[in-house]
Formats: sequence, C-alpha cells, structure tokens
Amino acid sequence: MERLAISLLDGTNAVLVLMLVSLGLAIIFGLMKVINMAHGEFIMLGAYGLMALTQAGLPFWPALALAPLIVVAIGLVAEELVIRRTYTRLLDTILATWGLSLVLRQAIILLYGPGSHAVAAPDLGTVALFGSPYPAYRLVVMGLSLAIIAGTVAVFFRTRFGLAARAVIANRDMAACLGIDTRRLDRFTFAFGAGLAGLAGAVMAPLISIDPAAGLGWLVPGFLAILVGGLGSLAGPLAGAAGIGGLDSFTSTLASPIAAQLVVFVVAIAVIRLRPDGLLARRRREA
Amino acid sequence: MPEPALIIRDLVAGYGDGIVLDGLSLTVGEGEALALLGRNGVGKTTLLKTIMGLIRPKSGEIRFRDRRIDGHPPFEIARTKIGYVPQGREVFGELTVEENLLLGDLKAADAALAYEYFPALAAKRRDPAGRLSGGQQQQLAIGRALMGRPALLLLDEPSEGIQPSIVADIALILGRIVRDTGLALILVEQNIAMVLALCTRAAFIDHGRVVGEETAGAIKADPDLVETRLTL
Repeated sequence: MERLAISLLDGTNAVLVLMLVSLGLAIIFGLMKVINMAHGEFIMLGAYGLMALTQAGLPFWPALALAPLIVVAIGLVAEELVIRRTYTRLLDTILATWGLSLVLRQAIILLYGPGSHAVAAPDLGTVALFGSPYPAYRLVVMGLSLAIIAGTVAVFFRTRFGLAARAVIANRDMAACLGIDTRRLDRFTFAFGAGLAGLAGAVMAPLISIDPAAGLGWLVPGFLAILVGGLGSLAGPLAGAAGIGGLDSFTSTLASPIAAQLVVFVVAIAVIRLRPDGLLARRRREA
Repeated sequence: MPEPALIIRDLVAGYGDGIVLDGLSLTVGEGEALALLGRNGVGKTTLLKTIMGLIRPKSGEIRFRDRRIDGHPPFEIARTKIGYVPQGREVFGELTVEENLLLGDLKAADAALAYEYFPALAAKRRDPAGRLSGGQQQQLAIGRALMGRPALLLLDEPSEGIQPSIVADIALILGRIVRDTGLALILVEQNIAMVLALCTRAAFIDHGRVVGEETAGAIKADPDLVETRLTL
C-alpha cells in the first residue's frame, strides 16, 4: 500500500513534467507547423544550464529560474537562424530541427564531454505522506510544473496575446490579414516552447543523470502524448501526457520499465489506429 | 475625382507558374466605392489576395496612400488600414463572436464599434462563430474588418450563399458604414442590386486586366450594359 502510494506520486511527477514537454511541442507545432526534433535537446540544455549555473556558484533556486531563460535565448537564435527558413515545409522542419539537435548535442559533448553528470537537489528533507517519507523536492517539482501549466493555459485563454495565438493556430492567413504580426508570434512561440522544455530539464536535473542524450527519453513520450491526445487544443497534449506518462509509471511499478515501454507503444499504436486525430481531436467541420 | 488612395500599375500575379493577373492597372479614390465585375476565374479574388499580400506579385506596383505595399507581408499591409472580408467569410469558427471581433483590433477595449452597426451580433457575443447562420457570419466578417478602422475595405462576394433579404440588409448597413466613416471600398460581387446600392463606379475585368468601366448611373440607366461588357 505504501509502495503504491509512493509510485503514484512518482508517476504524477513524471506526468506533470511530461505535460510541460508535450505542451511545448504542441504549441510549436500548432502555431508554426514545425515538428521540433530538437525538443529533447532543449530539455537536455535546461539540465546542463542548471548544472553550469550552480557550478558557477549560483545558489540552486536562482539557477533554476535562469536555466530555462538560457534555453529561451538558444531557442530565439535557432528560430532566427534555422527554423524560420523552413516554415510551410513540414518535412524540412523535421530535417532542420533534427540537424539542430545533432549540433546542440555535439556542442554539449565538446563542452562537457560525453559522460554523465549530477546536480545535488536542494536539501529540503522529506515530508511524511501516506505514512512514509517522501522527498520534498519532488513535491516542489510537481507544484512548479502545475503552476507553469496553469499559467500557460491562462495566457492562451485569458489574454489578447493568447487570442492572437489561437487565431493563428486556426487560420494563419486570415489572422495575418487582420494585422496580427505572425512573424513576432512565431519567434515568441518557439522561444516559449523551448523555455517549457528547458524548465522541464532544469527542474528534473537533480533527479536524473545529466548526459548529452538526457532529452531523448522525453522526446518520444512527448510526441506519443500529442499523437494520442490530439492537436488543435491545449487539452489534447495534456490529456495525452497524462495517459502516456501514467500508463508508463503504472506498468513500471507493477511489472518492469521494459514491459512499460511495450505496453505504452501497443496502447499508443492502438489509439492512433482507432482515432487517427487523437482522443481529443476537434471534429473537422464539414465543408 | 477624389484623391487616389490605391494605385495599381501593371500588376502581374498568379499561383505557381500560372498567371492570373496579367498587367492589371486600377485606381481607387479616397472614399470611393468601386465594384469589380467579371466572370468566374478572371482574377477578381486573386486581385484582392494580391493587394492583401497573400499572393506575392511577379511584377508591377501597388501603392496605398503614397506607400508601396506590394511585397510586404499581409500583417503589415493590414496595418496600413486595409480591411479584408474574404470569400467564404473565414470567421474563426471555434472562437466566440466577440473574440472574432477583437481580433480585428487587439487593442480595443470592447467590440462596441462593430455592435453599433450589427446589433444582432451583440446578442450572440458569447456564441462560437461557427454556430452563426451564413448571413450573421458575413456580418461578423465585416464587423471584424471594421474593428481595424480601415481606410480601404476589400469585400469578396459578400452576398454569396446568403438569402436575398439578408443581402439587402447587409447592403444597407455597408452603405451606412461608407457614409459614416468615409472609407473606400472595393466590392467583388455578382449581385448587381448590391453593386448599385453601394458603388459609384464599376470596373470590368477579363483575362486578368481591366477591360473597361462604367459609372453606376450608366448601369442603372441601361442594365444590359453589364451583360454587353462581360461578353466583349
């Protein structure tokens, strides 16, 4: 019973971080129709960013706040140099972002070597939950993720900026014809999506092994989440992340991580076969 | 003749390698309401899309209020105060009526400007635009363009697929808007009654060029003129 409660909490933790990842992927794809293969590297950069900042002597919490901003800056540069030249050509976006991911990973290997690193979690102690001790830092991770997800949803549905973004997602040309600066919105969106990935990486850094391939483990479930959940709304990727992340943690606990991968893929394939547009896809309006 | 607002010279544009507009020249005065008449496929919609920057011209020049706008992205062209009501209306079906209107001017505190002309929309402000009737969606598309306080309004077939009584209503309201705001209008329309209700001049387009023009008065006096002109 105790063990179940703990793994439920760990599972929730994984789900919330996966939500950050797939939200970033979905926003970038929704607005710009860019399939961002470098999203995993943005996660990895968030973790390395945190590590570099703490090594430079910055306390943990300011480093956690700054690391995603470093990734935002890298995202802005990448958008300006590479991504914006591939808009409207879906296949090219895959190739270009894949190339970007290779460059980022090799750059990290040059700077920090191919080996793995670790960052110490701030010593917050443990909290007694369901009669057993649970690391308080993991609760912080959950709270922070939840707050960022809620903040993102609020920006999209409560601000004029979010309204403009939703209009561009629905009909890019028409939105532009109303005077909405699609170029600025693209730049901002890509940086924001990168920042969400960077935050996921930074906040998870003390809990994972930091190595150049650290992001890959999130990229695949991130894509599965948006495929299963469906695009075109924020609820789709969030639901997909809950499903994929939850199923993965649950099966890992009951059986093994290997079995979990198997189950996740089988279920994802089944869902995509039965609902090609995802579980929460908007019904296409009849023409 | 009022001072020219929009001047188009030798415009060549099309899709891919195909050429639809083939050396088209046209001038619209400040506050003037001009109709574009022509058969299907002669380039009327392409012309409006090219003015908006959705299609990049291959050659030629478009000037609006002494500023060259060809080659600029659509959002910059829209911000020079050109409003666009496209064929098929293209309202954002999943957004509410009010959200659609605010997209016409993201800095507006509310959508009162549009509701003043289209009070029926105010009653449905929280409904998704996709649930409105065709006529109301057309009003919404016009209201949305109006929110940007355009100096020139491009209207592409506003009567298409709308019942005649509503078309007459829309023509009446458009007339009021033209009188109140003094905006210039380019109207692409098959419905001659609507053209005569709004426009003072009509340009005839064929094979991607302006092949002639008539005043609304001349067309009113001799309705057969339109047919003759179009079969030339």
